[in-house]
Amino acid sequence: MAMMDALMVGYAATRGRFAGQAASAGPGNCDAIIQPMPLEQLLDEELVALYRSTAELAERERYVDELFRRNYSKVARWCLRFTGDRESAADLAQDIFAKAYQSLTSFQSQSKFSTWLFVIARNHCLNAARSNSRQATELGVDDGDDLLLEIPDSAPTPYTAAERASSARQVHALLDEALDETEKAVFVLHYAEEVPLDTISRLLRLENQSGAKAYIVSAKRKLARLAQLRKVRGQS
Amino acid sequence: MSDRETLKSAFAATPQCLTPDQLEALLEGSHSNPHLAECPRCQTELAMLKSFESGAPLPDEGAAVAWISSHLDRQLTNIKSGKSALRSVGKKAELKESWWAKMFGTGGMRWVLPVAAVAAIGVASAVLLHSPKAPELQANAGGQPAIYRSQEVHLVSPIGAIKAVPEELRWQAYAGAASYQVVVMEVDHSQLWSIESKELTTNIPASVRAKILPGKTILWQVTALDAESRVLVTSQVQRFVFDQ
Repeated sequence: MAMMDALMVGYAATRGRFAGQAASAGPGNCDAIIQPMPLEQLLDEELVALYRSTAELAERERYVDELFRRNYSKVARWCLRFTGDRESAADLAQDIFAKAYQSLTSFQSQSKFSTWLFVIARNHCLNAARSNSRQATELGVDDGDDLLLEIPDSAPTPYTAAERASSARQVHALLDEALDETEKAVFVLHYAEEVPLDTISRLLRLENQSGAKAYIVSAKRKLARLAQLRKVRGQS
Repeated sequence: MSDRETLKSAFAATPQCLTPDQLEALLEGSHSNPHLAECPRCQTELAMLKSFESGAPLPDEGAAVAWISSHLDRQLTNIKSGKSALRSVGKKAELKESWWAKMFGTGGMRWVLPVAAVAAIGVASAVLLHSPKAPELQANAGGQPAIYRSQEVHLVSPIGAIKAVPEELRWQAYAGAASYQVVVMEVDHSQLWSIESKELTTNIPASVRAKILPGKTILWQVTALDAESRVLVTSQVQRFVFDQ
């Protein structure tokens, strides 16, 4: 909140500058008009602070309009990578800005405005991708089901919370050791966040021919090799 | 427990996982964090934040991003008021369903389709039987050089080295275009400004002109759109430099 207070003090001065107040300066009493600062030169966080501190509705909306306009392309690009087509991306982007507008008063300035907007965009698009993915694979086979059969699991009954946690830690360690950064990202997005592979290819800007699928295949191979190695070490 | 559930559990957030502002600090390189090296989830979150913040669009994204940005600008009032804004996909589906429902619904309209089909066959027959034979189309008519339809929008000015900061952008008309999407970019293709215009010229706003500095290369591109805002064709990316 201290950061927010500092921003508010600064922005009161900025508002004065923006409103073009006259001020006397120095012993010569030369009145100087402080030129209003163009909206384009204000930071995102300054625009949010001005929006929250301004009583006049029309002026408030001008700050928000400028704030959103300068972030259109960022959100548009993000949504386009999730959907692959501009119409669906436009729908997602509309929802994201609607949510951002409704929640604007909760922006705390602990991070940059664009990071805050990213969180809204990320969650909304992931939820949409998951929803589409579930509809598409309702009758399909879960390709993660036989993925980790080779991982040695010493727990006798894998159905308690503690044993589940133990399996998860083993898996975590195995993935961390076996996979490179991109393979891990593809794994997390596909198996944990349920993002379809074509979406992951666009999101991570994978330029190889088979996209994310090739990384899944490579990762499975590496995991199987490492699991086998561990099994052999365990037996010897 | 299935392997998928094990994987989800392995990648679930822990109390040590990084917050968005911590990820932001890592992105800016101002901090390091030992947890990142051992957490695939946080590594993925950082990759996604990087993708979101990245200013450079992919080569095939520019026109679509510009279209979406224009769409958002037109819908901004609706977005803020919480009214159900124009839903591109939903509206198309709704229109298609209502037409379909009218043709094949249980109401008194079932007879429309077969009657319309018979009428269409009759009209087509009349046209085929009675229309005069149309001349063959030839690209080379009467000895003139062959003329072929251009496959891109041609940009007129500004191009190359210029002696003053331009006040407007100009391009040639493209047949069938109802409007044009104009995008002005930095040399790394990050977008400076975009606008949709029904004319063949657009004024450059003062805020954008202020960014056209001596020696700095600026790129611009124009996409021709039809009446339903579908992309017809896109120009080459043109560049200019204010050579003071």
